Amino acid sequence: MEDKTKETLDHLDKGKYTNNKEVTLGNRTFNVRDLVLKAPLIAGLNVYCVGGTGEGKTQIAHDLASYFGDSYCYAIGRPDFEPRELFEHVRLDRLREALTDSELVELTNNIGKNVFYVDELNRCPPVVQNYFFDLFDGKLVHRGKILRLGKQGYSVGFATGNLGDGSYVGISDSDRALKDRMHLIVKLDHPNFATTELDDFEIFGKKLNPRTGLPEQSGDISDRIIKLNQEFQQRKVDPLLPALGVFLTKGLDYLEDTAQQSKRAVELKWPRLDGIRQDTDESKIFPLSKRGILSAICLAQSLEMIAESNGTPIETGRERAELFLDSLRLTIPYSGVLAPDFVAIEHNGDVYSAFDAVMEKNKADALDKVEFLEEALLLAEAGHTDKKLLDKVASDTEGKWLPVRRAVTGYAEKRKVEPSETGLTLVKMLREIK
Amino acid sequence: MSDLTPYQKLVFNRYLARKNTETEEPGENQDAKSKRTRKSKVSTASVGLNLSDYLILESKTHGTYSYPDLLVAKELNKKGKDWTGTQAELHTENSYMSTIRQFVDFLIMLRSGKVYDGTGSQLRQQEVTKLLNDIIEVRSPWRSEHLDVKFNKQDDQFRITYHKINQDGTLEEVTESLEDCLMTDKKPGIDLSSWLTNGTIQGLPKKSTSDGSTWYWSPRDGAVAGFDADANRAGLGCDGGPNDANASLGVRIVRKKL
Repeated sequence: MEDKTKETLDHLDKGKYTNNKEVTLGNRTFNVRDLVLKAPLIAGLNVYCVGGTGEGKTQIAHDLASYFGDSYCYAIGRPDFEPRELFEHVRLDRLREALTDSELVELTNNIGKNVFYVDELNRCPPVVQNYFFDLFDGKLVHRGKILRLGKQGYSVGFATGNLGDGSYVGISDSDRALKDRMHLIVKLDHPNFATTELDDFEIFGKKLNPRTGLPEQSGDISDRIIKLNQEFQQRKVDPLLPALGVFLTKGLDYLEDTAQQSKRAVELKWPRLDGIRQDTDESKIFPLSKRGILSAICLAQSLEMIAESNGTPIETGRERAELFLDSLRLTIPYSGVLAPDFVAIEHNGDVYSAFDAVMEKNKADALDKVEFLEEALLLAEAGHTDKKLLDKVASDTEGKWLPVRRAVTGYAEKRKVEPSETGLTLVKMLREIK
Repeated sequence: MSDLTPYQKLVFNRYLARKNTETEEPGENQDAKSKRTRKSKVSTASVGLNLSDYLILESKTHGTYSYPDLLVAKELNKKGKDWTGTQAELHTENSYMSTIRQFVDFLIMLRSGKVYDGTGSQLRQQEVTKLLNDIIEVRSPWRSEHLDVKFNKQDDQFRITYHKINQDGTLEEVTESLEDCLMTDKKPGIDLSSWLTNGTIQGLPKKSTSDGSTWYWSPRDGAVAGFDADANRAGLGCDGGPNDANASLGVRIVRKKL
């Protein structure tokens, strides 16, 4: 890792938001600041911080303002809010010469900002929250054209809110599609992520003023963060992660005893289906969304950069797979894929506990298969398949891992026709061995 | 034509090594509906053992530590013998004591429900549950088993000694620094799932292990490890004496699967 990269990463440790709670992902220890601030900025991931007041959400906003200076845009959620307000303004000085209303409207400088922070997002009713889809996708539709938000293609959204469970006045739950666009959803007051006792002790001892402070103008490092993101984009994705992604999107869709063997096919009735297994995760988790998988891959890759910078690099495929599977804890639990009754009844409403319970066996299965998958994927690069190896990954007729087997064989067939450089080397090596 | 990366070379060499050692493979569906299926051909070299008394613990790699496919006894044996005497006896019989790491992987396997005996037959769920409960359930009688780990302190640094099973079945005594792990007792306790899923490479619970009901006695100088369960508690002890013996204290015999 280059010195400048490490320097930027170290700089992101500095700020007003303090949370030294340790979280173990992939047998590496990170703190919550790494998870909700540093890693998302590296990877350009949106973050939705939920939970009660006083957990440091405003401090996160201030740190972002400090890092991004003029490239930071702040908005506060309210029932009549419309994101377009941020990006368009009316040029009254053109009132005389304009031929139509639309000629009076011009884009504001906000379109080029890198960070959009929406405080109390779910103070907006659901219909208004949906206007934020494009904002968190990093785009704006203006006069029929799709415009990319941000500078140099870098745009990140942060939002805060409280869960729509009726415990706060004047808030609404968020639509599943919006939650999906918020790549990470973290409940900051959950014991897994809340500040440590020492953090609290130090926070209470710092000042005699219960109000949150103002952002510090300590220097705009937005260009350095964008460069960090560009470097991140150059990193290669281990094919193990997309293969595990196939398991989580297509494999978790598997229903043993229905005609289509698919949860998506019976989505309207799931999980209240005749014959659905209660002893497996069939009735507990819906297949993960593609965006959720991509978010977890990006999060895992950015955490890998942080681990590298901390001197504890990820060295094996198994470690990488484990980091990816553990990263799902930040992207999936609140995305709406867990069966509500399972969370409410069996886990007293604790979504993290429910998610961990569902993932325990899936994770163990996945890690058992990692070595075989690594080998099968490498062979596939050369356009080869090894039936015995694939049998260790999955049956060739049914089951949750069948989609992964199909993905690997499909990739091998593709590589047979379009060989990669690595594939050609492997073909040569395999020939020499024979 | 590009060279393979070191990681790709490692995977490729591992594949070749696996191909060379493969005999008959299962080829069965491992994730579809539970079936009682044959897992692998019974090796002639294993004749003489009652293979149905053993469970197959598949080879695992944890960081730099790995072990080959193993057979782990369903029941405890050699009860009433101390840790030192048990080790000596096992080694003369070409068998081993489970390390903490192997014991953790063994519990993970039992909890997964996907368990095969030494003949390759899948165990019924009820039998798996019984085996697991025999180890971890809080109930009478007292059950206790030795684990192949000894702790020593040198210059204020804890070191751990255990045996590594090489591919050819020979044993190698390894002494290395104790990885960063939970060094305080938890009475109770640690969360069993948290320990099993996030233990150190050496198998011990990490400092970040969540609180729970499994008791934990942290490493002591000169002590050996074991797992106990009785009517009051179940837990991992890293504070046992190498000469402690009891009629309920035994060993789960481990053999290399041939």
